[in-house]
Amino acid sequence: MAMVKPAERIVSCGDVSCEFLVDPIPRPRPEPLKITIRPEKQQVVFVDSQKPNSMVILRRAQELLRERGIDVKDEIFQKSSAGIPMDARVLDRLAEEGGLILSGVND
Amino acid sequence: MALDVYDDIENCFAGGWSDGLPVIPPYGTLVDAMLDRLGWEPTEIIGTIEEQRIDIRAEQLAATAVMAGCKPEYAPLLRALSEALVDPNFNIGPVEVTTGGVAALVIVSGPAVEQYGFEHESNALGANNRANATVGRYAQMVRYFCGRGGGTMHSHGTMGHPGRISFCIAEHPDTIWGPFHTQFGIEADKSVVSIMSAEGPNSCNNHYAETGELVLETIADTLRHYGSTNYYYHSGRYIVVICPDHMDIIAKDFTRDEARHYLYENGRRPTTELFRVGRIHKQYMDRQQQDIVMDEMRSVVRAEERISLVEAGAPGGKFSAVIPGWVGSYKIVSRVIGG
Repeated sequence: MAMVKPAERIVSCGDVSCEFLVDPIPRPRPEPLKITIRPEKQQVVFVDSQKPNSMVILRRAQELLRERGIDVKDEIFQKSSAGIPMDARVLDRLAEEGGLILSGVND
Repeated sequence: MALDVYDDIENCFAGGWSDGLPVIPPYGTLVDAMLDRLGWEPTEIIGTIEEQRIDIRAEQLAATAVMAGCKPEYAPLLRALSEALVDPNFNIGPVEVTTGGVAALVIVSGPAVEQYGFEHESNALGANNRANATVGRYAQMVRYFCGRGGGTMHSHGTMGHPGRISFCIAEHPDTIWGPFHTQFGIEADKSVVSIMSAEGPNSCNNHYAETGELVLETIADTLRHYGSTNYYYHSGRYIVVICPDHMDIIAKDFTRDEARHYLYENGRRPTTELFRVGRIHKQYMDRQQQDIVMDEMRSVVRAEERISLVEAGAPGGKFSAVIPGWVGSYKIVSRVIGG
């Protein structure tokens, strides 16, 4: 099913007045956006989430991109686990990459 | 007036403020009463999901408790449960969105079971009782409302299971081996609420075994079935719920630690067989988490401590249950109620 974002407010109206119901859903804090118009380097870098079959999919994606003449970094970075956020060591290494970073390959 | 309430329930459905069942609309007066019993200020931040840039405020949790149908009298338990749910060790965001389709299993142990009127015998894993149903539902609604980045992310569960609506187990107040929480170093006389990310329960029937070892062998066979998710990442855990009639047999021959050790040693399959059926793969032998040793027996868990035992269920039947945890979160998070 298509994703529908939950309503930010719902109003309940009786015979004479209305009230907002209390929103039970926390929303992400807005964050100042830092936009880089283009990568410093025209290269694609992959991150393996360690999900089943992820390396098969990523290696194939590397091949397909190279067939189209796109520069792809041979090393594939690895998260320590699919179930937890990327650790600081991997994030720091990714921050040094000048290319476009792709992650999130699933089973 | 009744029609207005019905409209509000429908509006909650339409606005995505629902777990798929009708909710009690979170009117300010009801939420304030719940907040008052919880002892929180409305805008107090109870937890943070840093990777989603989410702050979870007290009023949002109180609204969810109202919507789930919890009584304000449950507040001390709900406060402890909320703190456990937002603990980073529980990992609520990934628990919500994983393809594993898991739930937030709630386990209540100690005097709170009788104090709050939890059902701990009949249909213990899915009791039609207000405390079990609404507290279990509250945990799932918090998981669902808070774990998806404010609705910016999908839940990707492939199958899921009915526990994603409500999943709460209350342990017998009088246990043979001591309360569940004593397995985590908490004093026996405390009331405790614990949570774990959980797949659906597997029933484990043995009506004719006459020794504890035969009952445990049956349970170990349920642990080690080929489909157990834990085989590849080797990073999950299990809850084993033992019914009274099985406890009577097992406890004659085993202490709790001995029973757990038996399950750990016997919940295994040969790696050669796991390779043959495709449950583990040679390509991923080098992955740090997996610790695959060729030609040896592979346990479903990395360590014995990742099997925990609960005493619950009605006398008169011989059905125990095995509940696998999710591989992305092996920790059981416990909080003392009123602590």
